[in-house]
Amino acid sequence: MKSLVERQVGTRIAKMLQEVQHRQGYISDVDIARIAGQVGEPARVIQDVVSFFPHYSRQVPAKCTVAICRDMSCRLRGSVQITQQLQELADQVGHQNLHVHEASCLGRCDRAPAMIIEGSASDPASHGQSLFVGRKVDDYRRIVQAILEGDPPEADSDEASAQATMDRSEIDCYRSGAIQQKYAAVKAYLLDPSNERVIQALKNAGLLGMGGAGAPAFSKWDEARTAPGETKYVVCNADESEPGTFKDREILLAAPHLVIEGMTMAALVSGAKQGYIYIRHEYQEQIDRLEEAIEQAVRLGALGSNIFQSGRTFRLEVFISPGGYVCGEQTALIEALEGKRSEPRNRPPELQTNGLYDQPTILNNVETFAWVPSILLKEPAEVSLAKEQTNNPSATKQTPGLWYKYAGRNRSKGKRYFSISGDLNRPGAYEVPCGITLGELIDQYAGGMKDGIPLLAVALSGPSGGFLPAMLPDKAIRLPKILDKEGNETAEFKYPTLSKTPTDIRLLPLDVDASREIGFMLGAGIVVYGTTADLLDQAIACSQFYQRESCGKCVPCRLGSRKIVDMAQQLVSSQTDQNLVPQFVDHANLLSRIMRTTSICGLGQVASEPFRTYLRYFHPTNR
Amino acid sequence: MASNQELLDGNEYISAREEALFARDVDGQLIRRADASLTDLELDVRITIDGQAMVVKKAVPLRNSQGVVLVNDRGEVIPRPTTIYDAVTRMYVRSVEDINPVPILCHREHLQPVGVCRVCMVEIQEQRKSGRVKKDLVSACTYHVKEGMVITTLASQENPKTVEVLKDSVGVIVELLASEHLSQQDRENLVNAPKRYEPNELKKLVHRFVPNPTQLRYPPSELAGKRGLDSSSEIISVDHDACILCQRCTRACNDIKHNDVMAREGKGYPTQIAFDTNLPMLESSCVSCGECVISCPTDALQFRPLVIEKQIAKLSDDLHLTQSKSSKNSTEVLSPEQMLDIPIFNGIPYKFLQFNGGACVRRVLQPGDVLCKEGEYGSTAFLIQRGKFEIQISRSRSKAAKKPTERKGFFNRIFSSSSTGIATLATGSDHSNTNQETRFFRGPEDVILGEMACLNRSPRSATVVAVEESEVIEIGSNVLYMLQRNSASLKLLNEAYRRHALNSNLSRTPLCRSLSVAELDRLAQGVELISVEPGQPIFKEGELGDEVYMIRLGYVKFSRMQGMRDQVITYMGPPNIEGEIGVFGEVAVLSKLYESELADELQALNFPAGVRTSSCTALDHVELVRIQGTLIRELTETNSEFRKTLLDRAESLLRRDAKREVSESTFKANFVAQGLYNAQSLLVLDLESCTRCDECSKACADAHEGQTRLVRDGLRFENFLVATSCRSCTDPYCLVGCPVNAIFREGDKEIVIEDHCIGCGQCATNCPYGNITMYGHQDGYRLEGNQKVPVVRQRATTCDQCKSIGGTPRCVYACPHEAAFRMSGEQLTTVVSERTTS
Repeated sequence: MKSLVERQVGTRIAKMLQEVQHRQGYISDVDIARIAGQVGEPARVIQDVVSFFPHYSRQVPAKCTVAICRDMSCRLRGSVQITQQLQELADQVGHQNLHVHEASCLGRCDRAPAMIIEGSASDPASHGQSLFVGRKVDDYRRIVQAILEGDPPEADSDEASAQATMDRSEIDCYRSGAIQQKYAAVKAYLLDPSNERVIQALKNAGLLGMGGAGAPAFSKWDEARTAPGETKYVVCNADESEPGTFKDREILLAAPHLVIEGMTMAALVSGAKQGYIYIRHEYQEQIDRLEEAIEQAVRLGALGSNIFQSGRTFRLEVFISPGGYVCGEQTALIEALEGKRSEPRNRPPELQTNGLYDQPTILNNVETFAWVPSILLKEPAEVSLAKEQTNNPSATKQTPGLWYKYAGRNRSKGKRYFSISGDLNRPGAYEVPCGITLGELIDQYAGGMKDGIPLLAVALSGPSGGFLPAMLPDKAIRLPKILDKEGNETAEFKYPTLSKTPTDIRLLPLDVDASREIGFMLGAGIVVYGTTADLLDQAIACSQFYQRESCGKCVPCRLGSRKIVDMAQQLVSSQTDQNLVPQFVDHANLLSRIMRTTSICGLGQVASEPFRTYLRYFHPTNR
Repeated sequence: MASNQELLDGNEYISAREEALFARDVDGQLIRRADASLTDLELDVRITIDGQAMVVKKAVPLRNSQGVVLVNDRGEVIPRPTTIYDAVTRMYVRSVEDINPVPILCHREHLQPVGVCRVCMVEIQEQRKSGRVKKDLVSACTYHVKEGMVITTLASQENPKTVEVLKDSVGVIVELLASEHLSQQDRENLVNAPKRYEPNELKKLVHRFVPNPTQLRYPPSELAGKRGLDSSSEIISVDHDACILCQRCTRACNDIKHNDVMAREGKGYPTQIAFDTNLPMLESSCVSCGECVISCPTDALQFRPLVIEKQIAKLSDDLHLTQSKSSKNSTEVLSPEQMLDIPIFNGIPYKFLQFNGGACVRRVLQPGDVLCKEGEYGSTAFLIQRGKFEIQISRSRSKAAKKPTERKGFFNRIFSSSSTGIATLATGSDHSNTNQETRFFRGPEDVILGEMACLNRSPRSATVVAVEESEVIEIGSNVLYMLQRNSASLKLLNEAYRRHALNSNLSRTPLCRSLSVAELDRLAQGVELISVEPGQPIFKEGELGDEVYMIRLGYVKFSRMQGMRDQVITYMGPPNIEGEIGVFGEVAVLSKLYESELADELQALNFPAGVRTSSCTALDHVELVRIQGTLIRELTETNSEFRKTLLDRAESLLRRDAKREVSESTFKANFVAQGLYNAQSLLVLDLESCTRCDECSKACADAHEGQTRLVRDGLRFENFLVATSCRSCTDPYCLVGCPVNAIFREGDKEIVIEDHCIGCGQCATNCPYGNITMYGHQDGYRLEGNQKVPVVRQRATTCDQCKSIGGTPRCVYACPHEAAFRMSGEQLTTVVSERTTS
């Protein structure tokens, strides 16, 4: 067994590779041999990693590389035509000058279509990125042409969008206050270092993980805190790669100190001394902002060694992901951070006990960490306090977490962000009370359907939950009732908006616990389709997304995701004899079930959902 | 097929977003996974498999690829957690023929489980504290057993619905693999059952789980059949189309052989296995050790036919030469197929047998034919198929091993000796003692003959003669090692080893001479065979001890604390050519046994009875016979002669220990540290007369195609230089693990490396003294387009103990200053001590 220090070589390998890739735009055999020599590992260890990540190139790159987002909202807004136009341009100017490729979701669904350009014709040494979003289809070709001619137009920024999102949010308890006022939760903790108080606050608040699984944050923190280990780590998952999801992008850019403070609290409570923010490389502005914020925090004394003269230490680093959706899977993210192929681990064990370098690790989403300061600092409203006191007479204004607990709607606790995009008037990231209905989010926040077109379908968790129709048919969901003290059903429906089937999808409550009980999947990225959308095209594209992003570790996902794409394409090319369709659907459903039950991680488990739900709700013979 | 809709909507199984089952202990605390502890080996875990309650231990001993239990440097077994697959195997697989209800593809017990093929899925249930039952499908190879786990496999009688679910899972997964990684032709052939020895494990699973392999529900995709072939290597071919990415080859290359060549290229669907930085195999640092091929469950990695044909042709030639000498004997090289029809080979990878083409020979002997002769070196063993053999062991051997006069390859020795004449047959009882010899008989129930010499690299300990028409399968040490990897054949072999080792060891020790056959048998029943790894202590000075040991294999050293330093006093080795067996550890046992008789001596020496007088540590891989003191005491109660023998011995040992000089210790310590005890033929240069003219190296190069096989440098022992040249170790480490059996010992000293060496460097790595060198040589040409490119191969060379005028090696003959000598380690000590005294 290697020692902890020997194992930590992995993160060094990852950083050395990134440095070479960034400096010269590709990684040669010589570079691999050199890095292998420097870290004392055989070349095969480096080969494994380099070949896994699309961001590492083994060949001299074209002078200008263009990535067009091909997923969900960007596809709705014409990314296919843009790619086609740019491919033609590349054929004209030569592929050594221009390389065009379709990319998985770039996280700018609110301003679709999105394009990222690396390198420039005028400066071959530059491998920096520029972002172009929200333009008309024909503009993209002109932009690339201008860049090739050495006259680059000004790139777009996420800044304005992020500021707007933050302006309508409650998460930032410091608002635009001076840096000296920030980190109040850390200061308060250092004056009275009670771990129990922090854990209890998160428990009171009912803060759930915002990465998708929705596990209570307090238990993760507490488990990592009590788990034995040589050292401990805090890791922030800022690898926001689920198509349709972009809310972390806004928080990272407009309120980076909230994330840093949340992580610092996790470190102080658990005893971790080192933390990483694992961020996708397409978030260049956010990376720069985070690095700047970390530097500010260190200067302020809120990070680094001897935090606010307390003798406590927490070092925080930004780790730029070498790319790939699977890195968002928490165990795969840890593998990537260890400088290995980003392949999900077999569980158990869980990360709280055996995380980064096999040490206890708290891994949370950006938003989860960002909620921590306001949960610890904000006081509850009088009404909320009164409500709490009926069950818990000892509650006071100072009881932390109550504010957040009562911020939800009906039975739901807290607030959260949704990224919503597609055929809408005001796509964007919105902070909403948990438990509001989908209809409210669409109409009151996102400004209703674009041009008033009728709703065809909704994807409630990027592509992971598949597509649900505007009217949910019988048996598509459950309608749970309130239980009495003996555990028998009463006449009253638990979610008041849902009382009959078929059910209008707009009535679904947006709450993780409710989604589980009712039987649908709820993520942070919602994509809304109007009746003009080609849903089979979307289903194929989403299936391709999973097939391309599958790490290939386990057989059902590596091969199953490929077969799903084949089947979907077969359907569109009408090779299927209509009489055989029922059998075809049976086979697709069987494969979907096997992928769900035998794949190692969530990616393989949901990879067939877009196609399965398409067949179930939208295919003409099956409706 | 179970109804899809029902299962999907029922959501019976937990999702990946939820916490895994059995992640918490009974108190609800998340369990940190740590290495299994020694106490886990004793800890019971109650589980249920297919409705049957079962108790397994929380951990099982870690075994290496040879099936041998590993121990750490404290001599303790290394535990690893018991998996569901281990438990199911224990319940359902009792003999080689039993089919495991849990199929596996990516898993092998000696590899670290990865759980990627997902064919070993079983259902587990956990009853939560709340009373709710949670279910999941998990990979049996990676999941550890936990208290209260309820497991359902494909063999379940009581849970037909789950069996359907599992059948669907493995059926679909195997079909996906078949669609992608088997050719149309392969799939069509699978309408019929595959051959019993079918090496492609995927094909076997397809036949077992896919009802109609020609009518796939999921047809082949984009890359099927287009992934390409790497045929750059002359030894191994890589068919990327057949590769299922099970990682068995990468783990074999990196974790088992530590060659660190194999990796993967790419991600997801197009992923392939790769060598170094995705180079063609020939250009990579691959040494063609063959471990990856043997580990591969499909046709992706295969030995190229040419290599195998070459090997078989060579052996057949050898056989042909010897066959004519003795027409009554029939000998036949066995094909891998023929071998797999013999039960004991069940479970040996087909490709391994292919690679070792001709490593097994069937021999039929007539009454009076000699199978092997006592004192000869032999690197083969014999599996007895039928007939009866007489084993003759001489009690005292005055003559050293008889050297064979000629050699013509690996199997040659046996054939030539069988033609040298008919030995005298013993008559009378089954176990007769004459003055010179012990004689007894062996038959098929004894499974194997000659394995001691084969494994221990020691001379044959007995002469074996056929008493009736008999048949044996003669196998090389590679095949024997592989038989030991397989748990079923290992069990058979271990029982046989035990009987044989005891028979030949016990009867030959002076200690046991006064015991009757019945008493020897009784002793044999009560003793244990133990293995100790290098550096591990066997016992420590000052401890109470009640065991006596005999060395079967390897060297041990004895040391005593001198102030703060642990001083080496002496060492002891395996049975030597005269058949004398090293016995140690008796002092503590005997002093306790004769405490009253020896009271005066013990007091005079200030020596407490029953205590170890020195520490004993293994110097290399050591195999010992351990005899409990209580057993010896019981025997002394009924056998007065035995009692007397022991008392005499106790007295002499006490006197020896009292006298033992500490002053010679540094000398001994150097001797042990430099491994000189193991050396039979050192090239030593007397530094008092050596002028460093290097004539010895030049003579060596002249005799060996310009490549010198000795380096005039090395460690010094007193005023002698021990040059870097083969030492002809009594126990040559270099012979262990050659993948193609190209290295063996000829005669009593010479280490021979045959032409079919593949240049993997294993022997050079094994030699602790750096006496084997690898050098590149040109071996023909290959065509690259229209260009003829020379093929360069590595091969190993070592000193061949060449003879010059007068029979001395050329290096010694060439020395103009009479400074070069060849001598054994013992002789060197004599020379050195004579020089110091004079």
